[in-house]
Parts: sequence; structure tokens; C-alpha cells
Amino acid sequence: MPPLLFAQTFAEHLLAEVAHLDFGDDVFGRTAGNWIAGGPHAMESALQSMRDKGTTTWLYRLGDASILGFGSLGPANWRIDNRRQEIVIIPHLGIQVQFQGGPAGVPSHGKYSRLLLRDLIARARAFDIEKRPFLGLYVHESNHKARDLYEKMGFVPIGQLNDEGYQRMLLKLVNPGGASLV
Amino acid sequence: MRLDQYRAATTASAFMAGIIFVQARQLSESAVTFGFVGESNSASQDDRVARGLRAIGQSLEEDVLSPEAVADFNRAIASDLAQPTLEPQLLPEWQG
Repeated sequence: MPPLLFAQTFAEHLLAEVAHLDFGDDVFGRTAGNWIAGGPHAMESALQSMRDKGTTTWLYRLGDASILGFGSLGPANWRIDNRRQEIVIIPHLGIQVQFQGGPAGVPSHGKYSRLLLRDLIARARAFDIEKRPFLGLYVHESNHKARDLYEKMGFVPIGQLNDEGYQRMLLKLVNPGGASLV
Repeated sequence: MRLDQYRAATTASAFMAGIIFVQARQLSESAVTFGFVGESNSASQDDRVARGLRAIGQSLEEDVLSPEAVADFNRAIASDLAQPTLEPQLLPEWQG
């Protein structure tokens, strides 16, 4: 069976292709669109994050070259008391509205969202698994679909919601018996 | 209160007021940015989401975890939670 999805490293010459992607009309969707496309409405763009924070971003394409969405990974420090824990973080990801929940008729483990996350997890392992053995992300408490997906992929919440209602979640990248936090 | 203390206090107050004003202005701008003006029911929630996204952008380099949260996470690891439920798998590179 041919692969459903392909990954392409995002770069400036692809900006025109992401200018009008539709990730949904809620705050999460609009923020995802603004982040990947940049422009005046973006608090921070993918290209800025790539330049300033060491983020890498990938576009995910279907076989006909249409863009399913994007994912990103970057380095982060989560501080524990006075110690620093280096982790890999997912700054942003998004799937275009027309593909959310797809493909139709495919069992849950074959859905686009899971293929995308499995790819990001595999790429996170390649960062430097000894130094950064965990993959982290933030999800808003009202973003139930996203949180449900992350939990099904093995992410667990860590700590309390922050003041704006965001929950940190972590996934262990190494094999059982490997690193723990601290 | 001595005169120099009074001056220092009033200067500090003015400074704080300036910070609050700037923050309020930033929030107002974020509401405009996201097109929430007039959507009073969702504005505060969406403002909160947007504000949080900005805070997250700042905290990618550093965030603080409590020892209790860390202990909970380590227990999750020990019980095989916090592991990928599907084998990570790289997708092929786009050759277009």
C-alpha cells in the first residue's frame, strides 16, 4: 500500500503555499494558520521560531501534493527547582479542516492525526535522546479533541493548568527502564 | 515620609501604572488581531487562549515544574503510561 503522507521540511520558499490554509475558525485554528503563514496577525511565525529558537517545521502532504497540515519540533528547558531538564517540544501543529478526522473509513490508528504524531515522535527521538529523553507540549483545557488525541498517543498531563488554562503534557521517548525526570 | 522617599514611591507608582497600561493595550490589540471585538461571550476566553499562547512562546526556553508534578510523571513512566502507544514511524520525504 503506498504511503498516505509525506513530510517536507518547511522553508521560506514554501510560504506562498501555506498562505491560505484553513485549520478552522476557532482560536486554535486561526493561531495555527497565522503561525505557519506568518504575516501581520501572527504573534510569532514558524520562520521566526525556526530562526530564533531552533525549531524545525515540516509540511505534511498527501500523494497528490495537497497540504494536510504541519508539525514542528524544537528544544526547550523545563526547570525543576533549580535544575534544568532539556526536552523536545512541539511548538505547533495543525491539520487542515477538510482533513480533520480523516481519512474516512480508516481505523483510528491509521488516521492522519496519528500518522503525523508518530512521525513527530520518531523525529523527536533523533534530536538527542540521551540529552532530551522527553517530548512535551501544551494543550488548552478547552481543546478537548487535541487533548484526547495526545492522551491516546501516550502523553500524560504534568502539573497544574497554568494561569491561561494550558496543560503541559509529556511523553517518554526512550525505552522502558530509561530516563525519568530528575 | 521624607521627600526623596515620596518621590521614589510616586515614580514607582507611575511606572507600575505604565506597565498595566501597556499590558491592557497589548490585550486589546490581541483581541483586534484575532477579530474578537464585539464577540463578548467568547472574547475573554479567546483572549486568555491567545495570552497563553504568547506566554508559551516565551516559556519554550524555560518552564518550572513542581517536584510533585515530576513525581507524578515518574510514576506514570513506571506504570508504562507516558509511552508512545503506537510505534513511532518516520514518513517518507516528499520528493515533489
